[in-house]
Amino acid sequence: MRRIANGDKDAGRELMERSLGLVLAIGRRMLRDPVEAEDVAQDTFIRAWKAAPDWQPGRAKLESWMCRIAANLCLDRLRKKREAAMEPPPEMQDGAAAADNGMIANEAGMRVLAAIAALPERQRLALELCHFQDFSNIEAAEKLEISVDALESLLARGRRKLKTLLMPQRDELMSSLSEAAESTPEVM
Amino acid sequence: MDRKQFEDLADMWGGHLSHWPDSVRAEADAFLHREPSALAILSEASELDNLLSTALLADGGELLEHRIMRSFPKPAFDADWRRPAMAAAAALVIGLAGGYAGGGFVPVQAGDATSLDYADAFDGLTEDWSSWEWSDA
Repeated sequence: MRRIANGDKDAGRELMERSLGLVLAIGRRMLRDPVEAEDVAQDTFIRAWKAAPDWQPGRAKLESWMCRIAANLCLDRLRKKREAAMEPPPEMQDGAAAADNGMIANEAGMRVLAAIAALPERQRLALELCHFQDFSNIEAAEKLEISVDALESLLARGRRKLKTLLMPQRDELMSSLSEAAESTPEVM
Repeated sequence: MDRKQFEDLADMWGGHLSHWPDSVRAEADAFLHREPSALAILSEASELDNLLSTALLADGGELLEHRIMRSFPKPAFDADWRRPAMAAAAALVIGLAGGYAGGGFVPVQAGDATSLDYADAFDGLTEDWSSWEWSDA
């Protein structure tokens, strides 16, 4: 981060190569729009690069920090959409439609993304913050402007629905994942 | 804590107690140690966690990487300012050295000898200026 703060573009590229996959996946899971997800990814890196001089090592893992920036940017976008009373974010009934547009690293990932995309927005966001971003229940509830009880209810419903959708295909998904791992030794 | 509560928590927070809220973790841990079936509940929740982790990464492709790198902020003060400054200094030194060395190769002209006598140019003035008066004074 010190190198980035000094304007070292190669260091900026290293950070991007290290965390773009994570950041982009957050946008795709939360926004379900691959174009918006790319915009968020770009905004995330711009913010991270600009904040590089203030970065304090040891306070948080770099990737976790990047992911939090991305998640917050996604929440801002969703909030602005609601506030502007624009068309609601496309609530696709068929999650596969959203997943088709998003290049997730492997076939199993695309199917899981489709299942996540099929969740109602609030359940999806609760899952994103608590499962993928490791927010505490209190933090996540604050972010979503709901009570902790409501958050936990969303989370339970979301995960149960995913369990119903995904667990029957568990063996197939895991074997697809193994094949992907064999053909791509390093995902990151 | 009973089995139903434990199942509900696993449904919410997954198969790793470390991800569960602080407020319930100790109680859940105690339940895990006294109830043999609790491990199976956690194991099933972990399987879902593993499946979800397959959607952890996305591939943006080179175009997106290129687009993002174009946004890399230019430093307010060019950290590589030395390069143009050194080039200008080198050009100046080479110019001066060339000019000085090149001067030796220029043949001396015949008239140049007298031009060197400028110091004596007033030698030809023999008139006594002390007695000179302006004609219109």
